[in-house]
Amino acid sequence: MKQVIPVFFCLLFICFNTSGQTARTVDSLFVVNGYVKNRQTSEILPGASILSVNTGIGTITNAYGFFSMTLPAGPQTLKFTYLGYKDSTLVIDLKANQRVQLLLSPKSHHLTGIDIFSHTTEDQRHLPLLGVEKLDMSNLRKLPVLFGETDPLKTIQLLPGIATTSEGSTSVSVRGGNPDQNLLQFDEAIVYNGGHLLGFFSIFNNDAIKEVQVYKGDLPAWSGGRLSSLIDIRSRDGNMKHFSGTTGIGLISSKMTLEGPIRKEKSSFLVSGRRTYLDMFLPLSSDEDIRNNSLYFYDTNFKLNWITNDNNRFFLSGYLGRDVFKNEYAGLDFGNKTLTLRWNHLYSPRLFSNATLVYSRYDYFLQSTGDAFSSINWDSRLNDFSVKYAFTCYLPTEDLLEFGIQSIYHAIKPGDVSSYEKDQNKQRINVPETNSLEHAAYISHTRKIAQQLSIRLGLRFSLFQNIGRGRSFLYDETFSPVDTLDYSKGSIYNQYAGLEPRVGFSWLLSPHFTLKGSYANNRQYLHLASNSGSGTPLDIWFVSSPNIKPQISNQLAADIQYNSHNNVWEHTLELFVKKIDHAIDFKDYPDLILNEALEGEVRSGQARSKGIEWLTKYNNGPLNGWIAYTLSRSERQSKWINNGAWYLSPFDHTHNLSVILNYAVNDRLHLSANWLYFTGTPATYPVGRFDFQGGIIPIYSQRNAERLPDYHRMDIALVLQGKNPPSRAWQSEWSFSIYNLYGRKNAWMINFTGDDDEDPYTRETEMTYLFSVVPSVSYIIRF
Amino acid sequence: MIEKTKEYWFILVLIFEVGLLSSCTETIDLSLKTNPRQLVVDAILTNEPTVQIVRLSWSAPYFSTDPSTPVLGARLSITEGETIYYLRESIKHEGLYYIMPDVLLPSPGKTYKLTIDQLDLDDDGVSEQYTATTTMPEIVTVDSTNLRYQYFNSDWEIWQVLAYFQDPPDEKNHYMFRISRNDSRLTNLPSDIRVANDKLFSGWYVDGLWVQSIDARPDHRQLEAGDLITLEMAAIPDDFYNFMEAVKMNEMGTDPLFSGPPANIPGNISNGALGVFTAVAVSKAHVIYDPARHDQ
Repeated sequence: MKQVIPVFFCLLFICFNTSGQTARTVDSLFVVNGYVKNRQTSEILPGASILSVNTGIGTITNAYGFFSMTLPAGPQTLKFTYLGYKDSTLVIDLKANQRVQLLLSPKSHHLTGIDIFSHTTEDQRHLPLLGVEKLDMSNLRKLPVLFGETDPLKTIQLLPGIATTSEGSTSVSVRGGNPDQNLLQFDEAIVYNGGHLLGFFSIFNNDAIKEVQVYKGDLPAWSGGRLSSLIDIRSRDGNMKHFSGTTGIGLISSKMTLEGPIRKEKSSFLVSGRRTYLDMFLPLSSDEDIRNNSLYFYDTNFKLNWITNDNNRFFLSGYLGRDVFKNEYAGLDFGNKTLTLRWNHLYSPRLFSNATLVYSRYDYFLQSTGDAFSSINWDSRLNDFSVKYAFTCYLPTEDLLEFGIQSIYHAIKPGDVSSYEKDQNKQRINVPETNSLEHAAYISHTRKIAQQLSIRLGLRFSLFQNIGRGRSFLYDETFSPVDTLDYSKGSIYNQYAGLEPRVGFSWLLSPHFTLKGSYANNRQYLHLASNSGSGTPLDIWFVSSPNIKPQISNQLAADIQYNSHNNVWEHTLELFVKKIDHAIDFKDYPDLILNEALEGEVRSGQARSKGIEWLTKYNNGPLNGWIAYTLSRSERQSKWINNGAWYLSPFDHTHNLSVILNYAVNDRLHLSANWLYFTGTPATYPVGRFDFQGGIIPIYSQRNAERLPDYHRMDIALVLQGKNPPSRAWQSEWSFSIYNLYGRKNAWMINFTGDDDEDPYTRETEMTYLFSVVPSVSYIIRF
Repeated sequence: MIEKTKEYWFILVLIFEVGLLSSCTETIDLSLKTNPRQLVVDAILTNEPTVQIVRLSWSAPYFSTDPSTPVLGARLSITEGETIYYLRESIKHEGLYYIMPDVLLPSPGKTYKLTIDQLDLDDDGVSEQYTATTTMPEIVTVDSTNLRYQYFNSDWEIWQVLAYFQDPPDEKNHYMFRISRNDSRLTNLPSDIRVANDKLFSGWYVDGLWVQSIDARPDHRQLEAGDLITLEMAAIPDDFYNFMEAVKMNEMGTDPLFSGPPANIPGNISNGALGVFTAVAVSKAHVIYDPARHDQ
């Protein structure tokens, strides 16, 4: 870390110099910079593209809607484009560095259709990053959904290479990787559990979200700590012009969002809340045990942002969500909390900076009550404190230099359980807390070598430190702990460091063809102790340590993209190979709950995956859609698992196909349909049985050697907007959805059962499926 | 209450079954592959003065509705120290090999090696040899046992069988609990057997641990006044504990939320044979069922 700091200051110096001096010494060049915003709300538009028509120089706005470009003096015509918005041009006479602000107006949906992808084809072509998609949240609600809840984490599962971990789950596997290999960020805060209600609903209320950007393994240098993907979710800023709101009533939940200026064009707020009322129906159940349950979740978001002057802007955003289950025996509640403070500062017309302070927490609390059991209190929490300082330097050429530093402090309390048993003393299991620091410094240079060729050279240095107070175990070759080592508070007792190079290029072969390639190396120091397919609320995260090496992935990817005339069709074919070292897996029947010596259950190995991902987008006015197809294979191997032989990742699907079609019939009526198919999830089935002590015990196949039946289903949605005369202060909208239209019984799990007391030799195959045809309806009012 | 973590799981399942209200189950036809047959050893030696039995059988296709085929004609021996004892093959009960207590009475602290030969599983004309080794742990004495009536719901009304004993300090102990009513064992199947480790009470005096359950539902009552309930508490080797734990986990079935892939039960027989050869040190305690005392 010590070596990093001088480099850092050096970079800052260079940027100051280029920004201040070059513009003056070469007096024919000036900087144009500024923000692109939505005309109606003054919210910033990240990813809008700006093209100087005279010179052909172009750029796009960053995550904060800022851009900067260096252009020759004289009259300049700037063309601004942003998907779903009307193009706009600005003519300026450049005589000095100039600040501009551009306001774009949204187009009617009938003209644009309901395109959820918000990168323009042209920007996508120039971007030397692979496997990146940006989704526009305002259009997501027009896609079919389960129980009427629009869900960004389910929508991304419709992209190639991204699959659900099990039916209806918000948990995703990217290219066969584990769900914990996805970096899920909400306003730059790491979210450790993205699911409500066993993962069937995501914790994100779409009304509060502006955009979702997914990076499949080819992570930009500013991001790291996970192997498979970055899912970057950014909240809306709030209307800067006038007070407005949205309220929605759905099948299982209601929600409300309010936003408006605090001082017009200077500061704004947004608050949003959602609560389910599933528990209100429980009393209707005929089963007494169910009637006495309570079961609900809620989440709230808030955001404040204020522009203090031309060069400074602050954002404060927070999230609080909680799930509560209760019945007569026990209760469980869990949830995330995040708080993010960001400060955008312009050091010079070309040097943009963003400082971020984050607090993120995930915790759960379990309690059993009543006479039946001893009373138990179970408490687990994970706290993150993070600081990040990121700089973007817009060099006089079209070069972009990004660099920054980041530190995260992780404090994990895996579990503290105390119980009072009848007539007995207090019992307690306390898995000791672990503390660690994760630092990173990065630099990335994106350079347009020629009009047709852009390259990106990125390097990230990461350093992970285990700090005391802490405890680690020494294990023998059978993974039994043989010695305990305790470390005093504040001492650094172990560390790992490494360089993570990330490079890529994009080459515009012809006006229609683009070739891209990339290599990315990622390191992951934080892992989830789970060997199940889908997530549960009882997450136990554990860190790399003297016994657990960091997971390291290397990914090579190449794609070729074709876009037809007018960009009606866009085809992308991407090939990737990925290899992971020290991949985390667990021994058979691991003991992951409340296990102080959890590390003794880990059997690290390696993982590999390869695949072809094909994405075709069609966008022709009111009719649009896409087809995503993935052909892939993901495997794992560990010396201690499956007799050392390679076995399939639990998330391997040979074929995975999604077809999505959207049609805007007119300004009021939108139709949408999708069809999904994937090869059945790998499973382990019995291949025999043996008798033991009067019962039978199954003999299993190799791990994941068999598969569940193939999965497929179709969903449809219809969105009808009210007549909404322009004179009326509010607009309404109905959404109707049918999930699993033809009622396919997709196996969620398969078990082999029998009644041992009757006849242990009579066994049956029992298939459980979750959802048959699920219709839903919701109603939204905007004002 | 046995093994705390199991109880936690149970609570979780109670909670989460609510979340799965809309799930449906149906029986389907699924054809399974069958592995080549393997030798299966089922042998629990005890320190009690009874006949010691080793049962040999062949593995079977999963959906086979017949008991496994017994293995006949094998030569079995148990080695204790320097002495080799040969087992006799039962004529009446095919697949059973036995030794009388006046020949061999296993005792705590001693190591036993089972050797099986004269079997030609792969029919190549050469017989294979299978071996397994186990050490009987020291006895942990169960001081007493008791019954406690417990009503959870209409489907789950039981007498909890409680154990009172001193867990030896400074060592890892593993236990197996079985119960008998009068002279017949109530825990006949592996799924009825309970095992525990001492993670939660290492070195303590265990004052009424719930270790077994007896059905108390009115239409399923398993006890009558005056019944003698015997609790058999056995100190067991840790590999047998792991075996039984895996049997339990396997019985819980798999689901995408909580469980990983199922896996084969780790046995201790060499040469790819299945099952387990173990030696357990049994201690017993009794209680007479008295409705006046045990039904509230």
